[in-house]
Amino acid sequence: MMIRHIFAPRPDWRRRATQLGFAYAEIAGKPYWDESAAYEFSAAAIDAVEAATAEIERLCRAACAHAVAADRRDILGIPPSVWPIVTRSWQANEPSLYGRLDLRWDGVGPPQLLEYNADTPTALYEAAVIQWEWLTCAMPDADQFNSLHEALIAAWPRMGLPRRVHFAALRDAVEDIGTIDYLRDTATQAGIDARAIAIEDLGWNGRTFTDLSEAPIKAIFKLYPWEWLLRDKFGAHIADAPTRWIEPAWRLLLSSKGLLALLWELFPGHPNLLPAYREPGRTGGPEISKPLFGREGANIAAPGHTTAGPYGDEGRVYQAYAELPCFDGRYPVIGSWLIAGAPHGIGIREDATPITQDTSCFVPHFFRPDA
Amino acid sequence: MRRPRTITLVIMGGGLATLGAVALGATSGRPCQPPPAQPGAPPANNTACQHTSGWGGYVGSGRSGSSSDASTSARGGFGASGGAHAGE
Repeated sequence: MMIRHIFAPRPDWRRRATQLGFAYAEIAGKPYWDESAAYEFSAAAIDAVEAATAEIERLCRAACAHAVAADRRDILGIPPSVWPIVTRSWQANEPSLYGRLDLRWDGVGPPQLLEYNADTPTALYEAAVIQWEWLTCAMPDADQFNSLHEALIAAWPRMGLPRRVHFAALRDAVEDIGTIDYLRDTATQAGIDARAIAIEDLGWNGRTFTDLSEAPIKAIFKLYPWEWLLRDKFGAHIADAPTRWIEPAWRLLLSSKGLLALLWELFPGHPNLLPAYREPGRTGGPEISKPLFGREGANIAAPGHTTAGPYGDEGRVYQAYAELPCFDGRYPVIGSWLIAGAPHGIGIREDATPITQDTSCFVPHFFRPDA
Repeated sequence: MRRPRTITLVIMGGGLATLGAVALGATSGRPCQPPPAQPGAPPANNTACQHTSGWGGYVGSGRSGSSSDASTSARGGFGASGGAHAGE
């Protein structure tokens, strides 16, 4: 069961957001956090999305192992020069902290994977904390699929990291900075000396990456995609530097939308997958085409919908087009979070169009444990 | 009944905020579980990275932007790619 309810926003929601340091509750003067609606699920529905998330993660890990063993970089669109750093990272079992599956789901049939945000997922703080704070006010007797905060704090000590970890994002990206600040919050509570630095301020001293005090960076969480890191000038030093990167380089195997084609090849007909290929016209029906390394719904071409953006030269994947379900004229995507590889909660973003973009709103959810 | 849950923040919102010791109990606790084993083999040989072009232009043995003086790092070597934000 999945129902969209209309709610009256709390009169003081902006003040509450500010108090919690939620700096991007409004983007360009429009609400990004939207508590004028919320989605209700049954407990059985929550169990279903949790199980589907775990199952898709299992498929994805198997796909990674296959890709590395069988040298499937072509289907993923990963250049040959980058492949060794990716495969070494996988073979070294470098742990992942987090990721988010974007699922198409109407609360009835099996949730289906639209894409895996495995490298730089955002919308985390609002999923972990902001929607919970809403729940305690608006639906105090209901529950929420959300143990993200606790899971993050529990995950950090299992990452095998040095005591000091740097956290980097683009200097002027408010949402990204909010995300790394929240992750620093959880890391700090796990006993890590969590230092913030702008990605533009990272230094290279000829032997190692450094922070602004010239201290070596032994481990870094970077909210900056691997394909951008490797394209940048300092990308040339990554293989030689003794730095742990979070997310690790093997997450490129999952963040490439070529993954969708690889999954369908390995697990054809799986109920949690949609048919997908690297070539157009093979799904047997309407298709949505996505750049292999596109972001935030940019450069998408779907029946009746196209979006602009800078991506697409790197190749595309063609996925069977299954339009998002529509509730009250809004199209929700379920963002299902994995922390250290296990499901720990969902966040919902909805849009007035079937294409979820960076302007799509975040709406809270709840369920009734005995429903 | 909702499960017990307290969220403490030490950085966000200026830090030291605590949401709730709100009330409690439920199926969705979804308590933290140990991470699944991440399949893999022993580390591979340290294959040298070569290059092509674009983001495939990554060169494992490159020295672009490097500094020979360890006390003064070169900076500005990351952040040139992409757009206004990097999240997804």
